[in-house]
Amino acid sequence: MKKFLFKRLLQSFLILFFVGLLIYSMMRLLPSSYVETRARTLSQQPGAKSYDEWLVQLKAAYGLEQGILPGYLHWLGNALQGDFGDSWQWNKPVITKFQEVIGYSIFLAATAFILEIFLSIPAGILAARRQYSKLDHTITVVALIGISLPSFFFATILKYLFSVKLGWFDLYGIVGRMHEQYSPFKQFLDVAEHMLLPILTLTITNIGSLIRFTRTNMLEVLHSDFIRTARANGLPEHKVIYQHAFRNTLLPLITVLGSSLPELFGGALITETLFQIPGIGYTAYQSMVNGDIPFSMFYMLFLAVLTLLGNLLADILYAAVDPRVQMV
Amino acid sequence: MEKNVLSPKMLIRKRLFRNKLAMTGMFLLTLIFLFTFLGSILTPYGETEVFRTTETKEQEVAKAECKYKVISVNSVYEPPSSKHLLGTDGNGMDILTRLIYGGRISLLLSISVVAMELLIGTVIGSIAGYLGKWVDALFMRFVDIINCIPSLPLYIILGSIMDYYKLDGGIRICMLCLILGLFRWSAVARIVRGQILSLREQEFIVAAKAAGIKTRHCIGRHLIPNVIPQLIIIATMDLGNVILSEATLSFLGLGVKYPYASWGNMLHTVNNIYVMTNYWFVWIPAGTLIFLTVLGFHFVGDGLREALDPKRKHT
Repeated sequence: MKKFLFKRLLQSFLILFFVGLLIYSMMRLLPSSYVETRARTLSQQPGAKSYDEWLVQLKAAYGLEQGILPGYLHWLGNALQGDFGDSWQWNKPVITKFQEVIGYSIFLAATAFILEIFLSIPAGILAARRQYSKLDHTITVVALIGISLPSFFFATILKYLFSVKLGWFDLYGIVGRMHEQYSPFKQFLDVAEHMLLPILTLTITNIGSLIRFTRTNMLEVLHSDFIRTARANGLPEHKVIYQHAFRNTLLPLITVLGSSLPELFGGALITETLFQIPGIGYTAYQSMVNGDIPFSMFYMLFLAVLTLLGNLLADILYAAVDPRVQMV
Repeated sequence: MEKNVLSPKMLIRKRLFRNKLAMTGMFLLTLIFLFTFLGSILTPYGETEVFRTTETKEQEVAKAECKYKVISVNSVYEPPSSKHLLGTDGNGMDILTRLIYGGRISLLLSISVVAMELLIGTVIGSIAGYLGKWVDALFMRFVDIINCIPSLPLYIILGSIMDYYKLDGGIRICMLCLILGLFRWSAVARIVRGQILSLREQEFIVAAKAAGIKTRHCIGRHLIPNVIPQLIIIATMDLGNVILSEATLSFLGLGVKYPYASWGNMLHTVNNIYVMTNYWFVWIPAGTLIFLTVLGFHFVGDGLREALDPKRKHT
């Protein structure tokens, strides 16, 4: 177990190192005049440092005088100490900006995620229990529709229907006009109301794959011998399904949960952008489009770490839940 | 008595044709392909043809103390009529015509991206799976690295780099194709490798090896054909997914760019709230077409998965 963990961790760090190198080289491929342009615009902002100061600082901060590999090592050294530099777009340290916005993203993603789980797992099980019935076909069609809906189109339709036609919600933003005057409880309700459409968008567009996944795995388990034995022994159907079959579908679900870690903490870029929710996704989008290299680097590396962590977590949980799995 | 013997291929075809979902998907896709590839013959207009207004529309706009007269020269946001079945867009171009050309770009782009990911993924996956040992370890770590790079942010950054260089629309489409293809193949590589790892130990490969077959032929003639069913399923599903990615990027204004049409960039106009609320005909058809195309691919892919599954009950 310890050996396995150690090996996996080492591997993850190695992968992370190369992912960082790849992203860094890409950033370095940006036109060289780019930094100068940035320095000029930055120096023109009110209360900013002078052009020369910015240029020197930017070049030094990203090791631009050096080659790609030494420059990367330089950046990595700073990053390991928690220093990701100052964001060009937001004019403050990357980490500070990150801490400001991550909360919204987690709230949005976690709510949507819980809803997804509670809707899709029962639906998947139901579909598997009555394979090829009308209900199964309906659930399959709903799931495929969910997978196929472009989130930006769906979000726009929701906005058109509920914000423009019915006028129930604001078109975008996280708080209403009167937010400051409300009591704390009402303020929370205000934020929650603004989160409703984004959560709906996320849930509907993500639910499909989880339903399909649950159904496929449940079917596999239901066709196995021990289920037939349980039924032959005269066990009541609900016991067969929920105690014997469902437990085994939990295993693959763990993998899914692991792989949705980036989604949970990495923010829903498209949905946040469309509804202008100031979470990590929307912030990163603005940074990337405006060529804010420090924040973009940080964001991409953050996502890579989440992906690796998710995989690792899934492996560990898998072994913890299933005694047949041996870690080597 | 004559016995009705069905070959495996016939069985699969029979199962596929009996699947209502797959047939619906096939029908949808046929319609969409006909629409995009033959539509240009039927439409009298060109992709970037701008229409002028015959009568000068004058609009008085009061702003502060001054009054402006706005005279529109192009017939912008004209509602659907017999002349323009779906109206005109913000540049005074015929929307139906742009839907036809836009769909063609989306479909062709998606087909070439999937072809590319299949090629790269199969080559890397089969070499890793067949040779094993350190080659396998090296290649799979490489796959891990590719897999770990967040794709959407990557596309956005590369898109804005292309914006910065002000690349020509045509080159942009090619670049988009290349970028999407180069970062999508890791799933294919994993599946091919996994299949080949298990197939490699089976008797027919041992026999082929004993007969002194070349590695190249062993992979190409004996191993790859056995992976093809899985690859077909992935390819069908991915055709839909690539269309989604392309549409998302174009929607953000980073994919296919004006003057070229694409379903995604036709939806880009909804970022202007006035257009979204007042001119539904500009964005609803494009969005619906994206949705229906992706749905079609997923229906067919799902049907194929059911039909190709050997464990399925033969009813």
